[in-house]
Amino acid sequence: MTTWWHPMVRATARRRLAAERAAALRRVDAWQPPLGTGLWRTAYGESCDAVLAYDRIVALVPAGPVRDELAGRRPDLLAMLDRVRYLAENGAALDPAGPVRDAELLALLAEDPHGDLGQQLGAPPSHLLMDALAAVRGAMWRATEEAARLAVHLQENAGATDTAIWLTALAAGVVSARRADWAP
Amino acid sequence: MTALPEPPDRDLGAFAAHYAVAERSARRYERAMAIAKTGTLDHERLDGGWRAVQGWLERAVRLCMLSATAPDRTMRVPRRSVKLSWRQRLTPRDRHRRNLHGCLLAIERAADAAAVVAVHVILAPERQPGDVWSTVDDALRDLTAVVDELAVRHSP
Repeated sequence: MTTWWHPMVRATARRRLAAERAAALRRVDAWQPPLGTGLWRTAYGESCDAVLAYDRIVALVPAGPVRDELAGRRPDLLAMLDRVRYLAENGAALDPAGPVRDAELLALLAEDPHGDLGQQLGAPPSHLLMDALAAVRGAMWRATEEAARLAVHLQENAGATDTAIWLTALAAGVVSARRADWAP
Repeated sequence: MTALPEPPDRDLGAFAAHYAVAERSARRYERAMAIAKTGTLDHERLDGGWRAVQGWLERAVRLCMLSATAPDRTMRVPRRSVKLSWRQRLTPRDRHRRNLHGCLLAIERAADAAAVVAVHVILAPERQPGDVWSTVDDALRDLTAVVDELAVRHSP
């Protein structure tokens, strides 16, 4: 009898989970994984918006080598989105409501006969996760804005010959953002 | 290992919220410990902190039950010549409430220390178990210091 703890069953489950995760990333669904309705889901949804905006920009660029180059940069954004997902999932596991103190705890500590004990508690440590997540999210939006600038430049100057420079700047921006925020 | 003390089986009145908050903080420690254990092999200190949190939660249960039944007025009228400390001037219920708040603070601070370890584990790059990793080790030392301090200053 094959049970759930059998190595083959567990390996199959791991492969299935990895496939589901990759499929969810490709779909760029702000509601997958389920992160509740707090700040973590909002931050992850904004990162998904950056990828979706990038897709719309790529669709607007006339067919050609520039569009192919932009489409080829999408996996970089997906890698950053995967990092955002990792941070958001763990952040939601630590503090589901976001990097804030339990309001009920603070209210109870404020009733202490000797003064407000809640002031002894600083910011919750999960704010470091939110900072890291915001940095990656900002890098994703910067890459999207670079792509938008390039698309506008191409629309305004159909015969432009300096697109290679713009593309180099876009690629350099993505690479530097990945180095600054996350070294895979 | 992860079992929490039995919740109180009697009506706690206004102090039911205190117990709920204490249990949430303990669960927060538990979640942080689960994440932190994925990135460090030094599980002994995390387990020690969890045992301390369980002890504090037991104390919170007792204090909640005592607070719910304690009178909310002073039993004795002090003589004029006797100067009472601020603690002696409190009603029995307020004294229990004060101790209960110390409990809540202790559990929350322990959960914070474990969360710091977990955050460092999450933010650290991929590494193999057993590697030297000063950031997590520093956070674990801080956790130990917090738990030791709680054991000394607020021993039940």
